[in-house]
Amino acid sequence: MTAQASERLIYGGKDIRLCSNPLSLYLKQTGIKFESPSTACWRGYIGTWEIIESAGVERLYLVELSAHRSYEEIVGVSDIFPGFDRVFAHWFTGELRCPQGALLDYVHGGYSSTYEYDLFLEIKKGLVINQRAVHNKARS
Amino acid sequence: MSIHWNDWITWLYAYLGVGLMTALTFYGFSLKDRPTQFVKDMRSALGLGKTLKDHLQDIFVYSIAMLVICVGWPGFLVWAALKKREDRMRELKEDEPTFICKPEFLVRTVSPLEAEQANHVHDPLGLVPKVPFGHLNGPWGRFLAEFGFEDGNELWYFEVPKGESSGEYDIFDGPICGYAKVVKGKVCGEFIVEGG
Repeated sequence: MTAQASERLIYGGKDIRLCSNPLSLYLKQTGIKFESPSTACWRGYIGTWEIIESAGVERLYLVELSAHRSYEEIVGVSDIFPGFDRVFAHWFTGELRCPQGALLDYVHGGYSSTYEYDLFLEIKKGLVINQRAVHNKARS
Repeated sequence: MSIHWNDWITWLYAYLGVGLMTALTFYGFSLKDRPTQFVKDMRSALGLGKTLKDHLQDIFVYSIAMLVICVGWPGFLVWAALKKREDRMRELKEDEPTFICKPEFLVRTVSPLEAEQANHVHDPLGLVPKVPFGHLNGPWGRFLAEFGFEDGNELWYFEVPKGESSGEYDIFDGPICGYAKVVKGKVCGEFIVEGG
């Protein structure tokens, strides 16, 4: 398996790598499937997510999408969420992993490569409820 | 020429005759599973073609098998019937849909109205439809349409703890919750409200 292209997350004004797929559940529930354009993106799409604060609460939003309905046809957010060009990801509960810093260990598969830091955001029904950072070390 | 049915040797011939017919029938079926010429050519190209020794071995194995079936065909027929039944049961099991919601994850029965009232989604930016289950309202509607509200069908709320998911839902590693259709204690459908 090839290392997979990550999602993107805009958080605190920074554009960072997101090694989680918050869209999976929505696609599963709606039965929407995409074509893989290459071995580096088996899921067939790359989403851009943003944490937006409102009234002291941070929420997860899908703000951009580049999804391959076929190899040539690329669709966006409004194609899979009719009437919306951005959406609140209220279906997502779990942990988002955002690796940052230098690449310490490259693994040729999935999101398994190790970077200097991992920022973990704990999400409950689309709301950020906790976060923590982990300092990784290269495998000797 | 008349057949003497009171002669034991006649009965033996009849028995072996049925056995031979059975063996030939099953040999005929086995021919259907032979590799195609394309596969044979591929195997030859890869240096995996059959040698003379392999052919002799096949003839020996088939001969022994035919002999065993001729002699013990009643037992063979019973074995074949049981194996066919077992294969059928396995196919049925493989075709059964798999659900993340196992009976131990069921929490409580609810009505569709209660489920909808508990799942209104609020977003200050207005980036979610103002309907029950928000962006998942469509899938919820389809789940209800397929539910079939006959007597005995129950709607249950379920919760799967983190790390307990299995099967095709391995893509979700977070805690998962939703609603399940339960008929006589068996989960027959599910609608996942949140997971990650």
